[in-house]
Amino acid sequence: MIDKPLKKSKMSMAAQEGMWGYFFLSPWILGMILFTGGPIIASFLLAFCNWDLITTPQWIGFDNFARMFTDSRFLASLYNTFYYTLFAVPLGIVGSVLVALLMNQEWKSVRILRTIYYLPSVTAGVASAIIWMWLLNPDFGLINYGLKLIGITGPQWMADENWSKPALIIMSLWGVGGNMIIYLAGLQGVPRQLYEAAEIDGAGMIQKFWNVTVPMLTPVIFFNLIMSIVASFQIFTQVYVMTGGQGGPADSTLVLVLYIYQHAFKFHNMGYASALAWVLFIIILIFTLIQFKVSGGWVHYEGELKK
Amino acid sequence: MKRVLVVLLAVFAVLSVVVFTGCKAKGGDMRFMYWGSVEEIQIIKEMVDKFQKDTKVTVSAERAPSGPPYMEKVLTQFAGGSAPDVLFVEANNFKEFAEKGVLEDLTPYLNEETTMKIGDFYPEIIKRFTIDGKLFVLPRDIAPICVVYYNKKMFDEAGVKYPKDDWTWADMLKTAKKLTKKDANGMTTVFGFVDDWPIWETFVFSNGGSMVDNVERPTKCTLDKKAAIEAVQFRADLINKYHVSPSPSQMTGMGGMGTADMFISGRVAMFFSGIWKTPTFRAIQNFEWDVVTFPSSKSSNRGYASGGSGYAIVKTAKDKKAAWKLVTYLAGVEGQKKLAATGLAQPAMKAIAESPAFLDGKAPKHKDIVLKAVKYAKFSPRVANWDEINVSMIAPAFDKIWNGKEDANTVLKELVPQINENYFSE
Repeated sequence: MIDKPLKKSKMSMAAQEGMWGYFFLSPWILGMILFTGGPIIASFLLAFCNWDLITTPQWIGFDNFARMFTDSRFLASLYNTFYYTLFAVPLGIVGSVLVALLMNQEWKSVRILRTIYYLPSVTAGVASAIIWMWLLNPDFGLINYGLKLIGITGPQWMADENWSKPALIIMSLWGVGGNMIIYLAGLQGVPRQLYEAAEIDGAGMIQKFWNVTVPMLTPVIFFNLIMSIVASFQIFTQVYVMTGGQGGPADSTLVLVLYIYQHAFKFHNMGYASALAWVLFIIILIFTLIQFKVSGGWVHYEGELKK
Repeated sequence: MKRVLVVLLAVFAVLSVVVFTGCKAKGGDMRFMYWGSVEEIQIIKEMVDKFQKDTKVTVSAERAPSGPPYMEKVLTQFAGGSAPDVLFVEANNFKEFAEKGVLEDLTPYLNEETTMKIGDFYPEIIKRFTIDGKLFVLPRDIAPICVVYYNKKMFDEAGVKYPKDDWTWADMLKTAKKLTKKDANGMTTVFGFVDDWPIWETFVFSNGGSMVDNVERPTKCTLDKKAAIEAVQFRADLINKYHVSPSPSQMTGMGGMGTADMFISGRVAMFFSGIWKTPTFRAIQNFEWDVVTFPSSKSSNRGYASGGSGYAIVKTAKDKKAAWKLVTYLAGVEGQKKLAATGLAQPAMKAIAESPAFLDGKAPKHKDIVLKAVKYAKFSPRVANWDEINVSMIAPAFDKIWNGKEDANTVLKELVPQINENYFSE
């Protein structure tokens, strides 16, 4: 009898807290519904329409999706995107783990070095793309100058359709600093006693790395793998800036998002662009699901209950 | 839970009211969209101010960067149901609106207008903006892309005579070869000739070729004809055979330095573009320059890719009379005279283009070449998907020609049937 009013006031307090919770969340919820949710629904419907932005959209069913199978530029853009992802993601992971290992040493100037390696991640994409245009210039760029010093005639990079994709992949390595920070945090979270135990068991440097560091890092690698694949499927800024939105030469750097952009804002085929965007979403979704599926085999969670 | 939802909805409602009224808070009786360089903005602002003072109608003028960003913004406004009332339209972007029925027919307005008549304008630009006898855009300027700017100092130093308007491709090549300079390592330090961007259309037109069979209603692409192939190959040869023009690889990664900057900094002797570079080049202090018409091919053909622009009224405009009034302020005699004085563009009114307002004696000396060029003005095909054809079919194929990997004949003979099948088959 006594605790009934007490309980009631407790309930209302919980409700009140919930209310305030929603209140404070409302800017995000509103933004999500108005500026993200709405367009998502709209683009889904538009994917089945023909729309030039000016006249009323026409419902054309699955025509946009059927068109993709015979669209050689779509297939080329798919190939270019996969090519880029296949090389940029593994190289990026290996690169950033290596840099993180180096930056995890206890040197005097390591903090400055960490900052330097992280700097590209806070540089605006357009600015870094322009810097790379200079670096990759076939005639007076630093990269070909360096190659010349060791007796190699550098390629034409972004002007040659055989070298433009490798150029983009090399560029992507500039961003290893961003993931390095996450690996660094992962490395510093590895308990010292594991290394001590391994040392007592007589493990050397390499054994410690493979049997302690790598397993302990796998959750971070897994996270970065998913994020990197998503990001590399969505590569756009560099290509847009370096090729003037064209994806040249000869469509060799035409990636999927650039192709979507061209249809949406250059050719004004908003319906086809929406259909392409949904296909990109489904591709990314499938890749992410596959990774979660196979992750059980190689990702090690220290806090996990053994089954 | 119910209360939470109620509060949530209330918050939602309040915020959305704030958000949406925020969008409409600014603005006058009429909305006007334009793009422009510094000189143009100045003129447009002056004319809009004058209009507001005279009519007491308030105008909110919105500017967007020229080219694709402008089209993106305008089309997004159309898509969102908030199209502007008055619109600045470019001759090659006109196709985006042309047959969509969104622009007001200006013919009746112009017929009743006392300050100007249709015969005042160059017929070439009127034709471009007319569909089935209806004029949709009141022209402001016309811009045949036929202007070869040349560095007189370089000609003097190399002992080469200044080019004359009757020169041919062969003369141009000979001149360009004499002006191209290399350093000890074989690197080109000065290029004889360069275009503002790959202006292959003017090469094609000036050789008597064409892009399609009928610019207004194309039924097939004609770039596989001999005249077009020769012209495209000639432009490629300037790069890869004669080395008087920079290759795409020499241009990529100039780090934003365009070919116009190369002309200004003395790395190019002849620079090919439209008359609109004049205000920029008037700031050059190191050398004197002048202009000459783009050469004809040996068959003495003339023909130039062209631009131009003007003002249109959107059908949804509330007060169309006031909108027309604004258009006449912008593209009228005073607006065109002001534009002429900047040197930026050739007025669409013939009498003004031929008057001292435009031929004011300022550099370039031979500015009048553009007056003679107007009758050879050619425009790109007036179909909405020409940009798509250009970007998705022509540009990637031409990349292979410009970088010397394949010749024009092979590429065009393969490309054109594909274009016709994909875009002109029905």
